[in-house]
Amino acid sequence: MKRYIIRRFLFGIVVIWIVSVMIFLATRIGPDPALMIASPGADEAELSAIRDRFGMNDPLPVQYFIFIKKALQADFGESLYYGLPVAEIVWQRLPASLLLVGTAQIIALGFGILAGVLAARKRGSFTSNLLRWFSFMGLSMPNFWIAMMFILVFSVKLELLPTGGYGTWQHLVMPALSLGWYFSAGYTRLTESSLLQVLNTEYIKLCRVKGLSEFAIVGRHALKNALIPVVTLAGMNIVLMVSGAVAVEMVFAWPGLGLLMYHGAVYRDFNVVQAVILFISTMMVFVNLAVDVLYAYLDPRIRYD
Amino acid sequence: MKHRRRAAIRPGYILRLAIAAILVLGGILPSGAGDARAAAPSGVLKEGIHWGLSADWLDPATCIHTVTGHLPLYFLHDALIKAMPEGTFTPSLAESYTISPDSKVYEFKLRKNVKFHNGDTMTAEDVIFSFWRYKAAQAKTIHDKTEKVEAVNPYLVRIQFKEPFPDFLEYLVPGVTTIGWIVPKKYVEKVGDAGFKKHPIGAGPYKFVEFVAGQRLVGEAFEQYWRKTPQVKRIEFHIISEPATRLAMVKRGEMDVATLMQGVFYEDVKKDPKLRLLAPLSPTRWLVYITSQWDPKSPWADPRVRKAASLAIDRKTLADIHMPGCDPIGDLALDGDATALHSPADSYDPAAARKLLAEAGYPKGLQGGKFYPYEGGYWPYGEQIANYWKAVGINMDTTLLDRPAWMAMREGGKMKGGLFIDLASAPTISGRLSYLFGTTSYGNDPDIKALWDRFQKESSAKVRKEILADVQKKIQERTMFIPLTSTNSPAAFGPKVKGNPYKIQPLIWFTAPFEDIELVN
Repeated sequence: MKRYIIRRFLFGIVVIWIVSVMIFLATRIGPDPALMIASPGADEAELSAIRDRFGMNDPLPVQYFIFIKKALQADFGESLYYGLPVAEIVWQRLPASLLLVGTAQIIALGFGILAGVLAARKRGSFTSNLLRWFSFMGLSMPNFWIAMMFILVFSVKLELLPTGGYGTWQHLVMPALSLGWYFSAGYTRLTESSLLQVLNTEYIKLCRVKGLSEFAIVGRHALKNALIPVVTLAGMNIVLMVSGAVAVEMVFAWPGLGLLMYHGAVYRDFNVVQAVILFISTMMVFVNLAVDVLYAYLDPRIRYD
Repeated sequence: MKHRRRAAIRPGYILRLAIAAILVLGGILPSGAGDARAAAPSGVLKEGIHWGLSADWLDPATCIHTVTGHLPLYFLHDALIKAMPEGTFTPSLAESYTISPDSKVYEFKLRKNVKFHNGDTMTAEDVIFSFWRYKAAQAKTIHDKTEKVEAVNPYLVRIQFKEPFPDFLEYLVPGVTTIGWIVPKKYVEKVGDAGFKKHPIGAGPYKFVEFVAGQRLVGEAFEQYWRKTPQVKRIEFHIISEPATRLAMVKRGEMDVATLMQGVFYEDVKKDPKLRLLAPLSPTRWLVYITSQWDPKSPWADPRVRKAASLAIDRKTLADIHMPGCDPIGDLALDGDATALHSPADSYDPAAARKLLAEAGYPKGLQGGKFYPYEGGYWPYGEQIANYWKAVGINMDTTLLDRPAWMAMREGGKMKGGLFIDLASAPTISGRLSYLFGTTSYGNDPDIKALWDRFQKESSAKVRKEILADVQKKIQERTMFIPLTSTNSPAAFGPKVKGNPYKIQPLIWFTAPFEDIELVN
């Protein structure tokens, strides 16, 4: 297991390096960012001063070397737009992103697994159909539209929750529901199909022959195995949620990384875009590693050595 | 030229002053209060704004030249002269100024006992320091022209230029540079540039409390502000990108102001009896710039084609749909600009447009080349113009670019040979025209270029005005650009805000001066 983790870790480092090269090149291909922040009709001296400030005058390999060297020290340079160190802004946004994604994930998993189990156990019943219908409704509506509808109903009409911003648990409810609802459908579907498969296996039949209650069969024996693909998806979704929360963060003025990346792209703030993508890629690599380790816990048959 | 504010001495004034002095000395009134009768600031105002703020804009030395960048400056800082309700070049930290006849020497008499937020008194040293410390737009141009800046005495600053610089005052107002905004020398030297950005100290009406990038800027009233004690205790600017959210927040009372309510939101605010819709004018004027006019092989080289393109546009409908409350324009100047040659907007006349095209040799229409509408949110505005042209036979290859690509192409000179929608926002007509037809522009007619060169070197105000009128006349006669519409910045106001806080429009379309804002009760 240890060897496997080390191997995966080293592989992850290579992936992050490739991503760093790609994102570095991608942010430098295309229009000159200095033109974005210069005054109209700026002369070459002004443009050069801007390029100098952000290290854009050096040849690309030198720029990349400086970028990597600094990135290893968690220094991603200065934001072209915000005028502050990028690392400072990313760290400032991270808690909000993790809070939103964490809560949305709990909502999505909680609802998705519950709906999936009910769908598998009581196929065709009114409750299971209702839950499945409800979770698929979340998937079929764009989350920015869900967010708008939440604002209209819970904020403007009922005056129950604050419209936007960040700070209290009330601020979290609507953004987390908008994001979580969207992702719950995938968990419902996967839990249902996986559980149906597991419930037809020999060891479950043996449990039944031994006279175990249905709750014990599903809760203690079947669900643990049925959740393996769900855990995989949940791992991937955490990272997808960070970057995919852009629309929700925009609508609720939620100060997360998704919104930061969006504004970075709009304003061609390449230092910000580089940092956020690199951060998300690193998260992706390590979350995947954590998911693999979790497999071994969920399914004792899985051994990596 | 001399500009001085004179205060008439009213009967009883000296007696009241003496009584106030005795009370201050006796500790009955707080010393330093700008106006002993002013009530203490109270209440909180929350504005939901649509544009992001940068930490660079908290420091006049690195602030962007645009009006958006001026919000933190009007909030936290003060300038020698600035646009105010009284006029575009209103003396502020400078009590008055003089300009030598040859426009080479400018003297600024500073206001006495002006305090920065940390208690330091502003002197000529701070002004000189701020002038040379400035490093944003046009810094090199201005610094290169400067012979020396000296303190004649602690309250008199003299700026001497190497050559006549008759436009210098224009560089001090929003839309051009921020070189006239003053920072405390001692404090900046103590904390450094990075430290200043983290906690800026100014001489403005509000003290810095908090700035969170991409989220908010917060300030508290500075009771010793020289102009007046601000009425609102705390003002918060929250950055909310989504207009629907801004509107919902102001409807709920979570915000008191929601900026940029356009399209459906404009109509929604108008219908809501609890909200007020205020639409301050913006200095921006929209136009179509024709770079291909300098290519002799292009159909756009013919002024009749350019005039036809202008007559083909229904500006009123364009404004009503995309910028309600705005008007068609026939020139780029702001109202009240004494050097402007105003001209009525071309009327919508497709028949005349077709006739002109036929006269120019294009009875069956023409291929007009590339057309670049302004970035992102303004694409529909541009597409509608392309449709008007198509209706009279001018077929354009419309290319929609997002903001970064549009900006880079515009500023990088890569729209050569095409047409693009641009905006002019400098405070004066000379600034606007020099942006479009000056040294760094896409091109110019030789005779107009010669006039520009004369204009730059001329120091006589009368002659400059004449030259400028001649330039404008020639540009208008030749339809060298197509003026489109004025702009505004409609905003929704909740019940808490009293009156109309937009007092410096059209140059400033945010709620400045902030010290003048009043809340109900």
